[in-house]
Amino acid sequence: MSATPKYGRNARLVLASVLVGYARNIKTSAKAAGIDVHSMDSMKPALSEPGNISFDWSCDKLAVDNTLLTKLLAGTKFTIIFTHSGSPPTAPYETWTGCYITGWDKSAGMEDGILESVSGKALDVTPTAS
Amino acid sequence: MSSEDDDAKVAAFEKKLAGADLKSEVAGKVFDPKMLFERANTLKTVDDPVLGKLQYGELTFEDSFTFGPIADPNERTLTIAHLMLKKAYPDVTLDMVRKMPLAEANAFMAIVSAQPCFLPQTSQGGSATTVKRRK
Repeated sequence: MSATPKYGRNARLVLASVLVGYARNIKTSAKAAGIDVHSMDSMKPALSEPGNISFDWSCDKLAVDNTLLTKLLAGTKFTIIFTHSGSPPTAPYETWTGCYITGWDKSAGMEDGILESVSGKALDVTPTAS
Repeated sequence: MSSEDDDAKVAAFEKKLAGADLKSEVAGKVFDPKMLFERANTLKTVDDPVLGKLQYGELTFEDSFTFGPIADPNERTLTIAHLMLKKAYPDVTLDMVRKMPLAEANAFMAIVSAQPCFLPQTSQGGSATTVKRRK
């Protein structure tokens, strides 16, 4: 696998405005539950509205400062900056705030500070237009 | 956010990840469906003395459903060659592969025959086919 960053695939992790990590092949998803209200006389919904929203993200590999890894795994929240145009955060980009890790893998022999198949959730997403 | 310090940090993280890639290759392969999917969608390039710079796509699980039922081995080979070439050159038809000059076809067959569908087949019991004893 090439280590060359590919456009729109990598993200920067920021903790208290300081860059602390880097996520490769990031995938983000936002989901909203649908709330349907039906009347007694029709099969079709009388009302359909978006309900609770959740933001999920995952990445193939995550590299962080060794000292911070314990903190992140303990649930410390951080920010992910995910650009569509490339790695440097030039607009347009999305800022995923309140991110935390929910799952990860680590192969035997893997260096400290690197996690594989990382998944997590976020509190909010703010898109920044160009 | 886009300071030079941050860019330097990103470069260091990239280096760390690249090192991890090498290490995982040495430590042993890890099954990664995403990577396999990406590989299946990537064209391979060979620089053959007869064919020149040629691109082709690896056969996929789905492709085996296309050529699997073909009983005639010649037709099966043609279909496999067509499937592999079509991934890189969408305009290539089965008839174009069928009428390929023999020298080029022979060179391409060396690539095709490396595919897993050409693994030698043994009989079910592992025994070789025998002829009837003469009376």
